Amino acid sequence: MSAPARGQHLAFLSFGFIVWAVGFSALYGVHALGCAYGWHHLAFGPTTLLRAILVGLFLASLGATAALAAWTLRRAARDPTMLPIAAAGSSLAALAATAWTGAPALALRLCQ
Amino acid sequence: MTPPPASALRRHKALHAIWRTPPGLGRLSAVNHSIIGLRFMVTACIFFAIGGVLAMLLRAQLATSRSAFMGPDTYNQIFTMHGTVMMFLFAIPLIEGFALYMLPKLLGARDLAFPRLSAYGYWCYLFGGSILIGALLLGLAPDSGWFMYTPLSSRPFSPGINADVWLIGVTFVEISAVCAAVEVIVTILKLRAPGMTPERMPILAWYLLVTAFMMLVAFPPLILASILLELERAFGLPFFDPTRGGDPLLWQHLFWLFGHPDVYIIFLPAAGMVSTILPVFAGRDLMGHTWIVVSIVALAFLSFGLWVHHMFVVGIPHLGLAFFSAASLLVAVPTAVQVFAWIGTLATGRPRLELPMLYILGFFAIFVIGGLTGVMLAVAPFNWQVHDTHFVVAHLHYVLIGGFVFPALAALYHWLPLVSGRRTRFALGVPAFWLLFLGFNATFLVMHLTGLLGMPRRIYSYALTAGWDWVNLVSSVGSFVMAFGFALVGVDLVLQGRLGRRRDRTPWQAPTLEWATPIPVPTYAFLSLPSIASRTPLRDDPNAARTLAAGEGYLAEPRNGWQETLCVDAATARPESVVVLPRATFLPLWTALATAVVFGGLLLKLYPVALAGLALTVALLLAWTRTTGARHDHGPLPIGRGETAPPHWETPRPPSWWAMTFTLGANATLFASLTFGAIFLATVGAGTPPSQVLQGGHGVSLLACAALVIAAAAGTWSARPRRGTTASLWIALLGHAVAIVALALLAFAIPDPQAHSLGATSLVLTCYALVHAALGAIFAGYALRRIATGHISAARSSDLRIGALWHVYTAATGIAAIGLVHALALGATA
Repeated sequence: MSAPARGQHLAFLSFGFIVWAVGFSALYGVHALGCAYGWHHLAFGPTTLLRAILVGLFLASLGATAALAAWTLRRAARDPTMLPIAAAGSSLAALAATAWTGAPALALRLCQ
Repeated sequence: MTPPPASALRRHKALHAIWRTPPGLGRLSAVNHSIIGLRFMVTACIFFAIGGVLAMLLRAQLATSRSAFMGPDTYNQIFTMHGTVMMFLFAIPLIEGFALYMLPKLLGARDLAFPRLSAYGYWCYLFGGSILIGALLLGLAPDSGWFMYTPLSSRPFSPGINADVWLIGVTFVEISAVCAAVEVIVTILKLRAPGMTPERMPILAWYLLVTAFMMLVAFPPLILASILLELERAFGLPFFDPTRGGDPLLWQHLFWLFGHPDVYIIFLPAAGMVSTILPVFAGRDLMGHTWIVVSIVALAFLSFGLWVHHMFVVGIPHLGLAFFSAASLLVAVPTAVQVFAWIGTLATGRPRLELPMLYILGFFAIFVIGGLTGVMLAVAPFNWQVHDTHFVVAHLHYVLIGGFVFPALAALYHWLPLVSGRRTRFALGVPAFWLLFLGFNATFLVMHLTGLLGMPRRIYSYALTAGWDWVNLVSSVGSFVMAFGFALVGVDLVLQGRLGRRRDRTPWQAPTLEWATPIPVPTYAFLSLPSIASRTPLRDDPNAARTLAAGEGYLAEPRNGWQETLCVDAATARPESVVVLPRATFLPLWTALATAVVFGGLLLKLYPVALAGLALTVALLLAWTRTTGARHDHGPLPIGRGETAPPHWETPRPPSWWAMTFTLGANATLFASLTFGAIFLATVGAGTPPSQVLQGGHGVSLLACAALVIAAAAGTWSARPRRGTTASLWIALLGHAVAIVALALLAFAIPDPQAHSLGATSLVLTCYALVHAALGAIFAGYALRRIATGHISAARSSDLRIGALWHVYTAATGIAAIGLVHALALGATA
């Protein structure tokens, strides 16, 4: 494996959870802002603006971690050594974390 | 050039002469990792003893209802100092000391990347800790609890110097934590033995690497919070005062952004000790090495998503609670992965029940209980019930003592021969373990019940009718049993050091590299540096210690009186350069003393003294560079085994370049926290609207932005020496100077920053940019000086490249800060 490829695997070990952290922070931050500015009172189709934004953010972070997990899994299949496998495992764990921590945005009451 | 010595003994003498620390007062000039690491650990243990005595005083007071042992004022100081000492002066510094002591030996290096930085960090820790303990002796200790919630710690409710002591003393100590984090990261990434790729790195190095990254991100929010609260207390800038647009919850957010990851910063190195020691006594390799690495990374990130679970009762909407409750439950999964890997390793090995294993089994029992009560506390309704009760106190002690102190004691007995050079005997260690284990559980297991019975934390007395007497009495008796256990460990250590039989090789048949050093470890650690082909180098070559001592590795021949070790490519571990390390010097001590003048001046409100101390600190830091680099090119140097590598100053990215990159990472975290605080106060935490808002200031803001961009462009262009480099550095210097003036004008244009948090945050954002521009000017001036003294050439350009990093960072954050100041003003008028 070349030096840049090894370096990438090392970096990819954390990328999944960086995406999780960005998504999680965005969910919490936007939720707080939305409640402060009353976005939960604004209708948006069958739901409210705040719910729509939160669900959108949740799905976006889920999509990003899923894409990253798929990509790192393919790389691990091509090169089944420690770092690629760890990068794939970390991305999958980040995908599960995104699904678990963001899921409350789908159903729970927004600003009470 | 020094003629190469022929024999191993002559090499040893030559290396010892180069690496030794002078005797007598010269010991204060030590920068060697073994000495500094041990100093950290011994000092941390002294602070632990002080914290332990404070705990016994607390337990004496609470043993019975309506105790007259001490009054509420004294009690408040003692419980605040107990928490502060244990968290900031014991746990984190012990980890730092352990990492500094162990890493070069684990990685096959002779020393850390920045020995003077470690020494400076140690002195900052000692002086900062001494401020706190001195205040305690004078009866002026902080008394608002170890997490210093506002408004209790704000000026109206804590008018004395007590809270200032905490803010300034702890921030002083935190310098050492950030120094250690940078040191550890760069050392692990760049100073490993050739061949030690990330796959072959010992598991403990993975744990310490991730922990150091966590420290780099976790400490800046607390440093920022301390600065903001001190600014509020000293100058009336209202960040936490709701009557002037501030919000006490901002403190809680910033504190717990540090505080919760801090628990894992303490736990992860201890888990690394377990993952290293347990396989040795299980007689097999660690099960699930790859998945443990994944779980460490997961744990590190998830631990930053839990901070709000300390704030479940502050009125955050339920959906917000649900996000953090889910994350708090989730963090148990990567922790459990490690526990199951350890159990699997034991189950499939042939375990030996020696003393280190006994402490690890104690860790298992206690930590698992602490983890389970953590899961209970992650559930919001249960959390509401037991919030601020002794249940939480019991939980945190199960996690911290079980998850940290027991593994640390296992590590102490495991690695003691490296320090003492003697075979460890376990005559007193076993009864000490049982006293600790039984005493601990008697103290804290029953304390869960105390909490469930409704006893709040931090009360100095309770009524007989409350029914809390017997549980408190059991806890108090247990705490004294535990104290006897710790005292017995102390006696045991003294006896081990004096009476143990001398030995010179590993007593455990451990496969990791630290046991390839001579025992006790010499100052230079390895006479020659190893080449690594697997994760278990001593199993591959049981004679590695002898062959390295015979000079068959890298850098066996001393030259030029240089303290040399190897720098490798972080990914491939191929030798990249020869790092020439600084020798023993008093500069770290003088610099830390100058820094103490800064903090002392701030504490005593002697601001001209603080400014003079700051100038002296900067001047002394610049003096560190007088012995670095060279005035001529050396080219590739022989490093042994037929290979060559240039000295580190002739590479584009030496360790100091990486250090600057990671330091800026920590700095960016501080800036992000400041941005978060400003936006939080302007939106979610918005209370009373401001009566005055920044009007205008667009001209000076544009001028500042343009000057910063020009400085960054000129600084970047000058990073490669060529014609015009000097001129472009002058332009960078000028750009920063113009930015300083423009930013100062903007700061003066901000209307009455004491009247409202909007003005206060705008002023701090502007000052952040201004300070960075001032440092940018110093970097540009320093580069010009290095060119003038002949330290820069086409090959030797790292000083310019490091400066370029700063110039770009300053421009990026400066423009963001200025933009935010105007956006806040616009938002307030909208």
